[in-house]
Amino acid sequence: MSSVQIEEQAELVLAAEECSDELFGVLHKFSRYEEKIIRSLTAHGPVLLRGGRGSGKSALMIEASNRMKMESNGIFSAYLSLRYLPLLRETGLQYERFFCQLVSHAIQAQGQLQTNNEFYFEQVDNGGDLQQALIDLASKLERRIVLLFDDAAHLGRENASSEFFDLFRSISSRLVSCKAAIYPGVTNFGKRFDVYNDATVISIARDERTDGFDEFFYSVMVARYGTLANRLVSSLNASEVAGFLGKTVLGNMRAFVFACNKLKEGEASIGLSELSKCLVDLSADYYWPLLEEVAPKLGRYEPLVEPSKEIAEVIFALCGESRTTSIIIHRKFCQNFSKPLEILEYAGFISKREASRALKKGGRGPRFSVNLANLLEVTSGRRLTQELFRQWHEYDREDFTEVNSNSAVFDSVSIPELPEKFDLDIFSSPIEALAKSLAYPYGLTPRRIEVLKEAGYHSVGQLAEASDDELRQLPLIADATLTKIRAVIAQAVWM
Amino acid sequence: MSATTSLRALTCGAAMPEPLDEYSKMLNAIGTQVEDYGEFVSGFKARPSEKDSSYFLPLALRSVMEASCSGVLARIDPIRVMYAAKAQLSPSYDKTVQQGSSLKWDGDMVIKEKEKPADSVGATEKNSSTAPPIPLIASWDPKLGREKIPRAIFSLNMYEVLWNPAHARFTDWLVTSNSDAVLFRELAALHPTQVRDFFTVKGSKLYSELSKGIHPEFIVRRQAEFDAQTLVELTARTISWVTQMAILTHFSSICNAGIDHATMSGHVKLIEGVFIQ
Repeated sequence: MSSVQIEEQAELVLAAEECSDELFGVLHKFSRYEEKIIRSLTAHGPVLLRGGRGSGKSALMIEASNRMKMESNGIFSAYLSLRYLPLLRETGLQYERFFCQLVSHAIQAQGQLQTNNEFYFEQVDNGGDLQQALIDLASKLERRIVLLFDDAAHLGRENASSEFFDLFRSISSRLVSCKAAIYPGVTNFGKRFDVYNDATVISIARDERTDGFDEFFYSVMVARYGTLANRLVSSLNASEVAGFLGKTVLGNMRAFVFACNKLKEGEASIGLSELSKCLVDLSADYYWPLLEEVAPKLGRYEPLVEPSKEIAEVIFALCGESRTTSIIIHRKFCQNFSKPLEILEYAGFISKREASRALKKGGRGPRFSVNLANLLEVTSGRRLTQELFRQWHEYDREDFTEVNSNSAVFDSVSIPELPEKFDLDIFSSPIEALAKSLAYPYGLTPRRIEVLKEAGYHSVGQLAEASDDELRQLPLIADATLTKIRAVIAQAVWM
Repeated sequence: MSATTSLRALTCGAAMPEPLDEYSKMLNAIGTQVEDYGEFVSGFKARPSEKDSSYFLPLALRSVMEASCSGVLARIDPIRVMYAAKAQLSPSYDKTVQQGSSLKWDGDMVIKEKEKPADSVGATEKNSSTAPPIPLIASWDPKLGREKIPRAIFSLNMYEVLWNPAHARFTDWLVTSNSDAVLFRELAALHPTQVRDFFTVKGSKLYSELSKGIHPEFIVRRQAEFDAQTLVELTARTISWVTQMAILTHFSSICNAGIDHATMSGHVKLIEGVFIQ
């Protein structure tokens, strides 16, 4: 694949699971920090990999799976994305049956690939049988088994999460390790699963203070956008710019790719004014729309999106005034606003760096770094100067503002009562919700929406349930379009 | 200075001045064990795919945990460890049966404590990866006889007087420090109410996992169960746990033989470079 082709593909592919095998190896880079996570994913033992949208969970799981297949003959591994509608809708025995069948199929398919079709894994439909079948398989192959579950817990469907973690615990054993990707804000682990006892939780946090932070993002930039660094003006160092963008997006890989795409637009040299524009665009076209996109899939937590926005506005106003890139918030507020803060972490507005730091006026609270795109938006002049670039790029221990326990800054934020039960709004949303927009840059065109509606698909739920064959029969829906439609549905429904 | 010497310094504290008294000699002896087991770990870790590593690395790691905790216990409760040490010299010490005075993981390091009744804590609240767990409260019962006073290093009482205050002091120190050690950052990322889970729950789990390496599984080949990836990961997790526990002991005046924080920071970087990365 030529560098031009790689760059074209890199612009389009935002999610690791949408990458071809060939492209995956070219586009994905792993720092020493990521290598440690991959090691935990390949070693024996249950792991929950926790990270916000686009933090790179899927890439790490896919890489771990690839390495186990390539390098180790003592492990039988299978990677499964749990993006299946029945897993969102069903509970109890129905959930268990569907999940077990899914795992059985995945193991059979993987086994056939690895053993040239001489492989048979019993198709089971309950957790007890699955546990036994996995132990029998490990014993027969004389290998340990690693199952990697991607998209394991949906923030808006807590019942399904609870079913999943029951099964996660049931099938884990001395020979079988389960690894699952989850989000900040996943709190319902069911009654049987003890998150501290039954798994090791790894939070993905590419911290700007880490050794080699700039170099890592530079290597990603070079791999994905070979020509971008050459367009920087001579006063800007490419590695520093990559590190600055990495810090801008709080280490989030999806947002970093989005930022590079923005920076790449146009033909001109890239200086501080282009970098400023990139950050302002990132705030307007990526971060705020992301909250809109996430709202209809939060289930009973959907009413918390508005207060989350208000809290974000307060945080960025305070940091903007003091021109600081992090904030310590007294724990009293963090207890009151725990879910909205988790939503902001999920969306990449803030990232917790320390859990408990002393405030100057007394009391303690966590310190959050804030993304620099939303910060620049509220900073006087909305323009990066050399001085601001240097100040924000360098790590300074004193670079924080504080919200003390008696502060009134959050007084206007009120948290609404949450409904007991709530279905995901996204299923009943009209398919126009999937139109090309800031939230869905690869969304449906008006003509395609018309075709789908004429065929009787009026809601996102109806469209999500349609089979590939049913959609292929419609005018204007070729294979390439179908892939696009599936990707947009996936973005809309899944976290 | 090697990483194993650093591990010894962190767990058993600063070198004692000459001439050594009985207590110093005992700390020295424990320190030598930490260092020796650390060297075994280092040797096996360098060749994790070899058969002998799959058999003996888990054992060496569990021994590092035991020796390190003994070192910390000796710095907190000297008479407990000296009693165990001197009892071994008694003519009535019987090697063939477990002696009441010997140090034990269950009892000296961790103890089973009454948790809050489950119905007072919501399942979601209790079981969250992000929301901190509900803190357990240490009991200071005026009627408790001296023989029942919990002395384990990871008792709830110890969390109240040692580990949690030390964690807060450590976090405040880190703000003023120049160190970029990952082990420091991980410790600082802990919410105060997660400190107990981090040491007691994680430590017990690790201890139990390493013990499985001593009592082998017969269904799967040894080298498949304890393969290179698992051994390297277990090494990183065990040495991280031991080091992070030892770091906090240098932020509490309850622990003897504390070392200055700059020196401690240097030890941590050295250990991290050899065992964790």
